[in-house]
Amino acid sequence: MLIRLASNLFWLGRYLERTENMARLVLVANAMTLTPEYREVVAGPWLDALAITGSLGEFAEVHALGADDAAAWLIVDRTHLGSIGSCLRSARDNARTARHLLTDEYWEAINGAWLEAQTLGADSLAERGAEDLCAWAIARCQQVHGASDDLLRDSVPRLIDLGRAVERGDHLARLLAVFVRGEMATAVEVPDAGSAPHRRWESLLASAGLLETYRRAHTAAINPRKALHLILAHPGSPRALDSNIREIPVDLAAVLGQVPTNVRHTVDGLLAHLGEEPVDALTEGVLPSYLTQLGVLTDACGAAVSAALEPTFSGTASA
Amino acid sequence: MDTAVLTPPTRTRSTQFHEMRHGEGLAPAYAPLDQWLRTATADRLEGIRRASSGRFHRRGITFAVYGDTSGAERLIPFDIIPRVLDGKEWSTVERGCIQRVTALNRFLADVYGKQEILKAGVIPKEAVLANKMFEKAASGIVMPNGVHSHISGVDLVRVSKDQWYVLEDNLRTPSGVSYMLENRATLQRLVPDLFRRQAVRPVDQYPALLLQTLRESAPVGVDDPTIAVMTPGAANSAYFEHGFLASRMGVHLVEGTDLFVERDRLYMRTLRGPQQVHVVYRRIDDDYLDPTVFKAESVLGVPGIVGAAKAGNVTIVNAVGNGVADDKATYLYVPEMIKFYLGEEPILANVPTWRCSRPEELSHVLANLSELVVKEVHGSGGYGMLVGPTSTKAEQTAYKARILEDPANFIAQPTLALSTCPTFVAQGIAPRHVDLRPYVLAGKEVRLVPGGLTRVALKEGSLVVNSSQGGGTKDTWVLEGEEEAC
Repeated sequence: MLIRLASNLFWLGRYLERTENMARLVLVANAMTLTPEYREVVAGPWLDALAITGSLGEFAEVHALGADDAAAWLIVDRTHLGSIGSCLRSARDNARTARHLLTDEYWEAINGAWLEAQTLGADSLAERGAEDLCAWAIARCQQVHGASDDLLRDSVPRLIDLGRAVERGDHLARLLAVFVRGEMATAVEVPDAGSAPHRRWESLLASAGLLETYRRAHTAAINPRKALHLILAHPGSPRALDSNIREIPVDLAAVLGQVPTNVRHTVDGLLAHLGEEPVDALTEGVLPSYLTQLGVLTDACGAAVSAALEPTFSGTASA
Repeated sequence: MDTAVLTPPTRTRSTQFHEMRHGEGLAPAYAPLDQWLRTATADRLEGIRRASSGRFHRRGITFAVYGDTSGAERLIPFDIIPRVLDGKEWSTVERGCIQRVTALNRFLADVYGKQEILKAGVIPKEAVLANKMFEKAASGIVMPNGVHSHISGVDLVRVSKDQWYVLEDNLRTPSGVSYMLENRATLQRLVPDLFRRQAVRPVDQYPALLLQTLRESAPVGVDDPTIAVMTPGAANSAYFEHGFLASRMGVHLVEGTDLFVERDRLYMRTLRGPQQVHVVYRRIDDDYLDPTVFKAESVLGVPGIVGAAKAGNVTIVNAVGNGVADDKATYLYVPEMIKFYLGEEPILANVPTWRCSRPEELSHVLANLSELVVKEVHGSGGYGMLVGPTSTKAEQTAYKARILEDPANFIAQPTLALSTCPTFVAQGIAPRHVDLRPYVLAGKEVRLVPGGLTRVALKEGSLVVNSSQGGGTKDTWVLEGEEEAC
């Protein structure tokens, strides 16, 4: 596998995952603005969404904070490199560069999504609404993932999966760091169904793509401890942070033949942090600092993986 | 895609050769197609056209337009009506292309070797050695099988049932073969019933034959070569084709930055360390190939790759320095090459050409500017040429001054009544001018698949098949059987 193409495949996975994450985030923010607690302050959920994506400052430079502007910025704005449309384009451009390593079906799935995204603008947002566009984006990403079933089980799907795992870890850490605050960071009691705190926990799970999983694993009533556990360390949850972090060395070993020391070190550090029982942190009232540290560790892990995919040769080549 | 401009006709429309209807009526090879066209409604044809356009977009057979910031990508229009050649017609083209490319390869091996054709005085020495396309760096590179042009595109035009002319040879990086293959695949998918009416010879073996050609071109002693297609990158207008060919052959697709040379060996940078490459099918021009030999500022190439080729450790396909054999000055001598190297008469003729370097021919050209097409010897893509019949007096006067300033830099050709084929356009089915580029592969033997890329000028009366100026492409059918269709 060429180093350059490995990077394309890795970023293909990252941007695909980022597209889907962004769509879930916007879906949830949009839904939250319709709830009683945010009816008067619709900016709140959008502020959170912008903070999670790290684009609040950039957005504020060009827009006043209005729901329509924020939705357009996060979904269709091509000048915003983190919008759904831009992420899909980046995913597709990486796929195009590595097109010869993909099946026709995989390529046509992602290229088709991009072709449709090309037609989306502020008009389509007004016509179809944020929910419809986000549901479309999620469905298209899932279609692309489905097409990966037929890829030869070599480095190609491994690198795409690696990108997705790193991106998902990064997203979950950001999501938690922004979302879990105030009362939510300390309340250990199960909130009343239908209450604003309950809805906020539901929103967090939905943003992580885990609300339905939670209901199947537990019950409809959200227990904050179980919710945190599901997001961070539930063994049966493919979207849990723990399972994604564990996938990183497995994928890298398959691609490189070994796990570079720095990656092993950062992954171990992250897993050790997750092993310190975040639920205890919640109980003890130190969850925010725990989550801040989690963000630092996922950043370090992502950087180590990127470095591992750009090896430099030392010594002379051998035929 | 490379560009080509067809010279315009001066004859009346009635004398233009219509490939489907000529002589006493319908050409037999077109009879089943004609029958189908009579039953197909305009709506059906338009539906097929739209579906083909959607398929090309979906498959990404597109290119980004340099400087276009909208992000939209374009495609070259595909005309859904195929061009049909019977076995006899194809046989002439096939034999002629094999003959021509064989001679051109002999010529390249010769001029970068013993230069016997120059010593024999068949071609003046200065025509080759003083040609700026003659590349000294190519001397001393011994090519396996003596082949320099492994993939050649021979651009042909037709003026009558039996008369084809070679417009130009493309021996550097001829492009467009992916369109030949995708056009066929598209038509087979969208109009399968057309293919049940006639036995059309397949072309989809091209990637396998190309791979065979590349394998046969490996350096001496390398039995299982590592092969790579080298591309300038995803921004290149032919990137689809580069990836397509790499994918269909199952070989690597590399850029210059993926490669390095150490101790005269070429390596790829892979995640698991350097891997030696033995054959590079490069799709970048000589100028950008090796900054230590050609343009020093090139960031697309690989420092030292020409040295690795000279050392016999890598085969560069097509070889460096091929430009000396396919420019307009050398074109004039190809018939002599065929006689000199092969002892044969050319099967495919050159377009009659006047050389302005010869005083008597210059006088003829200057006296007949309004009827001729005048070109720069080293020009390409239709730029810097005078199309006499469509030019103004002022343009002719200005061009005359240019010719007189440096007569040796100009050649002139008669205008030709180019053949037309039925084409589906906005007004319905109408004749449009076409050319043909078969792709000739040369390894241990010279071979080509039955077909090629037919380019069509979609605008009424236009002779410009260049995709940037309203040109499109067609599927090119060669029918089963050696004989004329009846």
